[in-house]
Amino acid sequence: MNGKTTFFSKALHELKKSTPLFRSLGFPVRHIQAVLAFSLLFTATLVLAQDKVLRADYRQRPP
Amino acid sequence: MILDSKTGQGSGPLIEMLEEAAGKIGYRVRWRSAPFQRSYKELQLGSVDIVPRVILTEERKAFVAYLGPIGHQQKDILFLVRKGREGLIKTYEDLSRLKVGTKRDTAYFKRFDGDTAINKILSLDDENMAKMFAANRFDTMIILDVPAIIKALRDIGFSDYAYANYRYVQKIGNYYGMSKKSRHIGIYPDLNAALLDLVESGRVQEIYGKYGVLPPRID
Repeated sequence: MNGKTTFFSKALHELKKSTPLFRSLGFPVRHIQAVLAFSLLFTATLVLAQDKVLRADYRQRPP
Repeated sequence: MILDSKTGQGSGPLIEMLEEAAGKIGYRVRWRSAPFQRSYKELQLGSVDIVPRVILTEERKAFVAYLGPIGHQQKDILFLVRKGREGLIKTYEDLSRLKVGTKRDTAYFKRFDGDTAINKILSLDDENMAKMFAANRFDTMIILDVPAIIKALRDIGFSDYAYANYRYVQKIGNYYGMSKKSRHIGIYPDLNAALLDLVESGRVQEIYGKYGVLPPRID
């Protein structure tokens, strides 16, 4: 879990850092940030949801 | 546990109990149908998290964290012989002069499992063991799961069998085995507590009753 938190923190940090560059190139920075932030949130939710699944086996009983 | 051939989904008290206990701590369970040998290997590797009906042995404790027990059941070990040869095995000692068919990775009982003096012939599964018995590859076969081997014998149309006079009487705990290499091993104490709570509250009996199956004894 800590590894994942660090990954997402780093990603957000990089996103912030790159803002001036994107802005200077004329990109709609706010929109891009919003889409990226939403994607990150969505991915994080999926990852966390996956984390709460136990894989179990069963053997079929003969009838 | 019964597998619905149309949906591919399993059902039964052991499935429902684990799902309920896992749900109480915010987890879901994804089931897969697999032969025991595969489950057993993957328990060692941690690529499956939980396998129901894993018999507790000292050897397995190295890689299995046991959830439960949810009860105990009389699980005598029987020996199948040809009809008319029931007297071939009257005591445990009689086994040492026979070829005994066994199923790979199966825990029978401590004395037998560790006995290197017995000539044990390994089989992959019930089907394989039934065919080998029918082909006279061994004198007797040791049986833990009676319905499974009876079905395998019926499937190959073989009925020339009977139970030997000797049987090993034992009561075993009904556990779920959790891989110690599971990435979820951290929840073991909470999941175990949730499962044991189902036993204490009488929920285990309720669930078994729903399926019309006798629950394991709690004593």
